Amino acid sequence: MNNHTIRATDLKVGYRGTPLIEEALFTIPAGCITVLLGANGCGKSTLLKSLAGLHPLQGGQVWIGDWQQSATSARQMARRLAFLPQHPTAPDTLTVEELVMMGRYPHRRALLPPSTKDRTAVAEALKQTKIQDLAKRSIGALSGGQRQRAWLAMVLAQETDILMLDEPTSYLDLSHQYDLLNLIRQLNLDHGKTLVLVLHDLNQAFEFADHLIYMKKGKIMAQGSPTETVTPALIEDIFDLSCDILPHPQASCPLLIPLANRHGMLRSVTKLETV
Amino acid sequence: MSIRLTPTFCLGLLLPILALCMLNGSIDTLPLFMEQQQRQLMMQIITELRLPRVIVAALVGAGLGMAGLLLQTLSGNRLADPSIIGVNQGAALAVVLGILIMPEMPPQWLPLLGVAGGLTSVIALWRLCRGTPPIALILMGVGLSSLLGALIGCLLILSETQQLAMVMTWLSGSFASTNHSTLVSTLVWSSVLLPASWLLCQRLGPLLLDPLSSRMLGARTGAIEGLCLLMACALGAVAVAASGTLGFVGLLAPHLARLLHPPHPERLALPVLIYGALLTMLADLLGRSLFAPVQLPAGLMLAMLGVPVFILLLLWQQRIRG
Repeated sequence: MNNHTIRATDLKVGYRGTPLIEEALFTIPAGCITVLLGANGCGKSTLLKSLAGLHPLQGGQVWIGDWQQSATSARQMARRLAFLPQHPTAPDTLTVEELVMMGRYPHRRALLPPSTKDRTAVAEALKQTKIQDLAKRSIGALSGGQRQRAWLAMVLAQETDILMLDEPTSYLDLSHQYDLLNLIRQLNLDHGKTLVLVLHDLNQAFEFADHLIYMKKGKIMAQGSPTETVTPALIEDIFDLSCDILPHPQASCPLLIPLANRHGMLRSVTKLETV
Repeated sequence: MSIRLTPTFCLGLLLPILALCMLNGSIDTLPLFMEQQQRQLMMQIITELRLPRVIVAALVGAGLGMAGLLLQTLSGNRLADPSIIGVNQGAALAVVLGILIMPEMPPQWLPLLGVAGGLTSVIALWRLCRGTPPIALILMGVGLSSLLGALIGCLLILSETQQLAMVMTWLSGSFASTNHSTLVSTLVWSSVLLPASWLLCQRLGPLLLDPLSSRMLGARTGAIEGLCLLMACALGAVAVAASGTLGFVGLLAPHLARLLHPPHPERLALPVLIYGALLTMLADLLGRSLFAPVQLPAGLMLAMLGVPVFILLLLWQQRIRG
């Protein structure tokens, strides 16, 4: 299991000279669902991209298990780590099956037709995302939710130990969001995959994550399991949002109730109660 | 709509056109074979004039179609084509300069000169457009090709009349001056470049996706893009050296192929080669025989017949989608 822990040392990432993220050491545990949390523009996506090797580092090193990110060939890395960007694009005329077959690219030998192993991986990915019926449809004819699942199927077909998903629930309605999150949990439980996601919904993060990383302005403010870490003070600090934290009635995780952002409002509510 | 490109289908398309090209576009010439005395002359015409011409036309068409496919996949824009973004003009400028400055240069060296010219214009374009959206590449390419076109025009006006005639026939995209030496040089260059470009197409899949996704699939996108550009301008340059500036095949052949086959570069490669070859062979055949004894250059024929067909195809495609 330990061979796909993600570890970064002396990480320094930024755009044009000014470092945005500077972290001495941090790790993402193997075999867990890790969620990056933070306000818009806090560097979650940038951190995820630099871990995936998509963003040049200004300093430091990223290790994926015992492989150093910068010293490993892209093809080799693509067999261990898959990444789904926030806004992936493909030609409208491509069919779902062809898109998912792209996920086999790092495994396929040049010039050979797809092997039976490739075909079963594609079929399995289509089954897991429940889009077998759409296999022959072209991407342009899909709804936003179907398209998102087709892309997820593509990274699943890559059969990597590590999956990084940048805001995978955007474009999805609530029920599809939970379908996707359940699928992610299932991938983690059944196949022991390491998952790193960026999510915006805090309650979804608390419910599905094993490990949370809270970020603010490029700094990691706290990390750990949801029950250990979450406090109203931390959420207030990171999101500038007052909230109440209750135990979840159904699951063993915290439940966050956002309150109006104005401190004045909050005080007036407590005042009402005392009267 | 999708057609499986079986060997019988290809042969069924290629053989009749090949036969027509040999027979000067008319079945009437067939009885001449029956006569003993005429036959020898016929065979001589076919092997020494027709055959080199048809082979060069086919190779040039296939190469230009492939260059169009590579550039379109690379830029993610179906407008790209070696003649639209200035590769052909760059190659043409270099070759015209070569003819004017060193008239005694052997024709085998013209492709090399063309590659240098095409490569220079394509590298200039690529450097200028780094990090800009694909449409910027197309727009700047259009600008570059008009600039180079103007430079070629200047050269023509400044050059002497004797060389002018040679350059003019060459610029209109014609196979009329095809001889054994063009055949040999085109054959040699194409036998390297066409298989190599077909192999390259087999690795192009990830370029269809956004840059992040293709990089995360482990594709060495930088290297593949560089190779694509190099290959496209080499193919364009070989075509320019053999037949002058023959436009439009690079645009039409991939569009035809996409209409009839699955739009995946690895599966478009073979159809594009075949349609490109067919288009130029047909254009040359029609240009040669329609108004005989006057020969219209294949480049003009392609534009006159190909453009209306192209517009109809696009309209038809829009209707189906809309």
